[in-house]
Parts: sequence; structure tokens; C-alpha cells
Amino acid sequence: MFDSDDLYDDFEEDCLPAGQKTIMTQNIIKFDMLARKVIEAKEQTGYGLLGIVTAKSGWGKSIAMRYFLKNVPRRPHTGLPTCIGIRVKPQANPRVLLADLYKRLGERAPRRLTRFNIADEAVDIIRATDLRGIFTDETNQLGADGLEFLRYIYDKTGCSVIFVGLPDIMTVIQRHEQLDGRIGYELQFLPPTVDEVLDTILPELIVPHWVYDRTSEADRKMGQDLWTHARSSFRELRMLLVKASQFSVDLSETPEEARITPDILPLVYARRYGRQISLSQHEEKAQPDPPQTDMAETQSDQAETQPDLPQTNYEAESKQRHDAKKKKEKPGEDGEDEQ
Amino acid sequence: MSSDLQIGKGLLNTPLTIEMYQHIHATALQRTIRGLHLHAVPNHIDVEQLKQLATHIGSDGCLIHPYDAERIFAGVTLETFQTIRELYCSRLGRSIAMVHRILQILCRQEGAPLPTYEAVWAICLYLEKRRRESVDVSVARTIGAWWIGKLSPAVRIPVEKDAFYLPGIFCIIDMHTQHMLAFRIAPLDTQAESIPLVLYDAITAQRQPHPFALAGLLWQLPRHIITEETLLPACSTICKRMGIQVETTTRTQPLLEILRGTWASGLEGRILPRSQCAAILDSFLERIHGYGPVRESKRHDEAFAHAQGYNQDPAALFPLLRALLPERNGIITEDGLVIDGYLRYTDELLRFWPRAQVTLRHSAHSTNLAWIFLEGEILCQAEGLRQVRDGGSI
Repeated sequence: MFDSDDLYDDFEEDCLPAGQKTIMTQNIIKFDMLARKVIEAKEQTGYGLLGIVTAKSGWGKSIAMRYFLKNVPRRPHTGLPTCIGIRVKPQANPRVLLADLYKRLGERAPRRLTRFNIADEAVDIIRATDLRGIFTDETNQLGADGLEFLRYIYDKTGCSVIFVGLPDIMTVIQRHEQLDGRIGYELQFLPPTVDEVLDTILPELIVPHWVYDRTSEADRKMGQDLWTHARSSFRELRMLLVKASQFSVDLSETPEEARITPDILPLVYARRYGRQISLSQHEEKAQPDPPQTDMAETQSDQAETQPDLPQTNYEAESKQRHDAKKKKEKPGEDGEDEQ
Repeated sequence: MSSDLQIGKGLLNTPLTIEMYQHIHATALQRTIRGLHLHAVPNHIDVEQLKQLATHIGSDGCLIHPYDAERIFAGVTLETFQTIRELYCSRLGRSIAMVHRILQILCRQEGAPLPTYEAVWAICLYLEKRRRESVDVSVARTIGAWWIGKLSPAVRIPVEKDAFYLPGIFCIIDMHTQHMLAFRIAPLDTQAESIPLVLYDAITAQRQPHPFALAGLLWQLPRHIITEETLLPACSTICKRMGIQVETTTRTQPLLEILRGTWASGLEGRILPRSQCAAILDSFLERIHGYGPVRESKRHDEAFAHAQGYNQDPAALFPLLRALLPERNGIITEDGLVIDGYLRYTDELLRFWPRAQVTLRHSAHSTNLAWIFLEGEILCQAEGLRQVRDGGSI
């Protein structure tokens, strides 16, 4: 029997912990809209489309995709949803993609495959399962033959493909003229605004010992600080909170009293930049100041995500490029680089 | 070398011994008493009288006088015997009357004396064991009955630009396993042709290699078929000849209910090519019910690819199956060809009946093969020729 988990690979990294609901960010809403437009194009107009979604690492692409796939209803005549997701394996070729396709659709792959019939086998299985859309996560891992394979099955079946990947996939797609011309919708994730982080994301985050009240000025301050250090990345935000949660238990009188407070967070930031501070040192020094170099870095990051600062991708990217240039100019100043 | 051939040819033209003729004829009479091929018995033989005679004086009552044997078997040589054996003991399953008809034409062609019908009949019955080896099939009866039903999803199947038909999906279900053994998608009004075809598909899909089976294959047939649709008398007759009882019903099967409800609802209003509609149904059956007939058939084909008999045309091995294939009319041309649309079939026997009306049944597995019937009797298995187009290209 086909299980809902089969819609997409179960990568621990992309799984939300028990009890954590998907937080409806603007990016997730936009992703949902794009995916629907692309997938329904064929049915509504008779013509299929391709779509592309790009975002930096940790900005929630995979979560958005997973959320969309989880909410796709099953169709009675196939027992399958309209679309599936494939997480592209490193250096995946068409054969690997086909194997993933079969796996996602709960079918046994044919034994005899030659490089000549791989694409046609994919076409057959897509037609037999009446599939309307394929999401490819980590599209950056695909080589030219993989992209060509996906274009072939799209051309042959009209099954939409939505490429999800890092922003640099755009340069690869643009190089493939045939593919570029078929892309109907494009979405570049923007980093969430500080307001969205403070009012929507942080209150709904479920991490042990994380208690956040959006109406509390102290909590908002802590949240702002936290988001600055997470550098607009959900993955980094999660990592900071996980570590803060552990520290809060270590430092509390009893585990029950553990709570992530503004006092704990500097430890996490310090650990992130310094990475040399031992727990015992922290215990002795309840509120250690982060090293000067780290502070400089932190301030630079803070500036990047202030609500009144540029929010378009282009501008955000320019800022980051500028920061990166600065880092290059001052080697050794960044604790991370030293590692 | 040449002298050997001379001797060989001489032998072939040698009549058999009177004792041999007597033995052949007596064997034929004994088999007739046992009820074999009663419809083919020469008119002058009274089977009832023969049975009484045999009861009174035993098998000696079947022995004819040497004078009669010589008269009946006049012109029958070793070559005649061998030709009859070749014609009668083949998987084609020719009737005795057809063997006699072919033999007469062959003899006329070569200016040889025409053998009597009684001689041909006697030799055929004498060779009956050999024929059985050629035409018989090994059958195992399935536990459950088979069920014939029809689905009519609200989809349209395109045939050409802007032309569609409403399909009927004719299915066969094994009642014991609730597996759909076969299905056919065809226009709703082709039920008479589609049901025998889906039955053909189900039977061929259930054949399996077996080391002790005749021709290497074991055919799984049910004892009963229960049908929601009315079968044509011809189809019921074939079932009966296969030892299958047919019963009509107004009930249905759980699997068909699911397909008529859930499955069909998902396709409502769609325009789907026939192949895709079939693939979607097969995929659904495989996923939800664990048995997709098309996929299962492919797996069998892969697994049994090297098994004896498995790669041969099923209808060539199981003569009764041919009767389930659709019938078409044709005429034998002066060149000994039967033309059906753009397909042309040939066989060396066809040239003996120019301008004759025939019927042909195409192989379901290869367009290169068809069985030709003359006046309802199987004449030959003809092979397809590639059509030469006007420009001379193939």
C-alpha cells in the first residue's frame, strides 16, 4: 500500500520534529501558489509548464515542498497524489532518477534497463500513474543528462517539473536554452522580514525550553537578536535554538526549570563564532562576552536583516557579496574561517 | 546417393500390406465403437450394428475381408499414409473431412489415384493417439470460478482527430483471489467480439511452464464462468468444449463495484488514449489489489522466456483458443494469397482453392500469422507477407 511518506524521501534534515507544525511563512504560501499554477496549467489550458524555485540554503525550500506534497490529495483512479518529489542524489544520472521515480510511485523498477529505454520507461510509469508534477529538490546536483532526461519526460508526457534548488541553478538552466524556454513560473525565496520572524515564526517554533511571547518586549528583543545571528537561515535558527535548549538544561538548577533566556543565547553565539569555549568555562563565567571579532561579524549580520534594509534578493545578495568581500579582505577575523 | 533416393522413392510408392490395411481399419472401427469422431464415420457404416457385432463376437467382428481392405485402401501407399499423418497429426487440428479434401487435391495434382474417404478416415482414426499428442493440452482446473463483467467509465478514447468512442472495459476476475486476470478496452458496441478476446487473454495469461505438461505448458482453466454480460452462443459453445460451464447472473463482484465507483469517478470527463487508460487501470489494480494483469503478464514473459513452448503463439498450441479470436472474411486470390486490408497471407495449400471464400482469424500475438478456414474447417496456418507499396518500397 502506498504511504504518504513515500511522496518524498524521508530525509531527517527535512523532517519537522513531532508536534511542530509547518509555519506558514510568505515563502511557503508563494511556493504553494506557484506549484498549483504549474501543475494545473496542463489541465486548465492544455499546455504544460515547468517551474523553478530557488532559495539559499536553509531558507525553507525543502520544507515548503514537503508541506505542499503532504497536502496534495490522492486521486481515486490511481490511489496516488497528483505529484511527487525527488531529492536528487549527488551526481544523479537518469538511471538514478528513474529508480527514484519508481520508488516514489511505489512500483517495482523493471529489471532490464538500457540507456536507450530509461526515458521511455519513465514516460510509461508517468502515464500509468497519471502523474501531473515532479518536484526535484537539490536540483543543483543534476548534470546535463539529468536535466535533459527531465525535459524529455516533460515533453513526452506533459507532466510538469518544478526544479527546486540553490540560486546558482539559474545559471545552469539558462545555459540549457530548451529548458529555459519552457519555464513558465519562477520563484526566488526572500528572507523573511523581522516582523514575520517575530510575529509568526518564533511564536510557533517548538523547541524544548523555548518559550516566546510575541507581546513581550524582552522576548521580541531576544528574537531579533536570535534571527540576526541565524543570518536569515531557518536551519541556523534551529541549530542555535537546539544548542540553547541543551545549554539551558545544563545551566538550570533543575531540568524542569530550564528555559531559553537572553542570558543563555550569548553562549550559543559565542560557541558558534569561537567554538573553543568549553562548558566548564561558561559555568564559571555566567555571561561571557563574545570575542570582539565575533561582535563585529554579528553587527554586520544584524544590519543585513533589519526590516528597513533591502529585502529584494538582488539587494540582499549584493549585501552578502559585499560582506564576503570584506571577510576576504580581513582573513582570520572570522572565527569560522579560522576553523 | 542417387540410388538411395531411387530406393526411397520406390518405397514411398509401395502399397502397405493387406494385413496392415485390415489392422488400420479394425482399429478405426474399434475406436468408432468407443464413440470417437462419430460425426466423421463413413455413411455406410452402421455404428449401432457394429457395436452389437462387437458385443457378440468380440474385436474380430471389426476385421474386414482382405478383398474389402484391398478395395478400400486402393492407391494408399506409404507416402499417402505419411501425408495423412502430416496433415492430421499437427497442432492445427484439421478435421478428417479436410484431410480427405486436401489429399484429393494433392493426388489430383500428381496424377495419383484418389484414396477413398473410408481409407482416409480409417488412417486418421488409427493415428488418433499421435494426433492427441499434437493437439491435446494439459489443463489444471482453478479453484475459483471466473467472473465476466464490464466497466463503463465516463471517459472518451480518441481514435483520430476530434473523433472519440465511449469505451467498455471488459474484465475477467478470479472469484477466489479477486484478481483481475485480464481486461480489454474497446468500444461499447463491440461486446460480442471483446468478451471472447478477454477470455482469450485470461486463458493465455494463466499458462505456465510445466515439465510434464504436453508441449511444456499447463493451462489453468476454471470449471465455471459466471457472467454479468450475455455471451454469444458461439462463445458459450467454446467454453463448453473447454469443459467450462457458463452461467449468467445479475449480481456483481466487490472488485467491480470498487472500480465502477471509486476508480471510474477519478477519470470522469477525461479524454485518454486507450493505452494510457489501460496503463492507469493496471497500475491501480497492482497498487490497490496487488495484481495488475498487464504487469503480471510482463513478469511472466520475463521469467518464462526460456521455458519450452512459452514463446510460441498460444493459439498455435491450444487449437480451441483460435475460436475466440475475431473472424474476418477473405477470398483466396489466383496467386494463392488471402488479402485482408494491407496484410497478405500465404501458404502452399491456398493455391489449390483459388477464388474460394475463406474466413481468417489473426493471431493475437503477431500480425504475421493467421489461421485460414475453408467452409468453417481449419485449412492452414498462413504466414504474412510484407506489403509492397506502389512505389516499390517495402
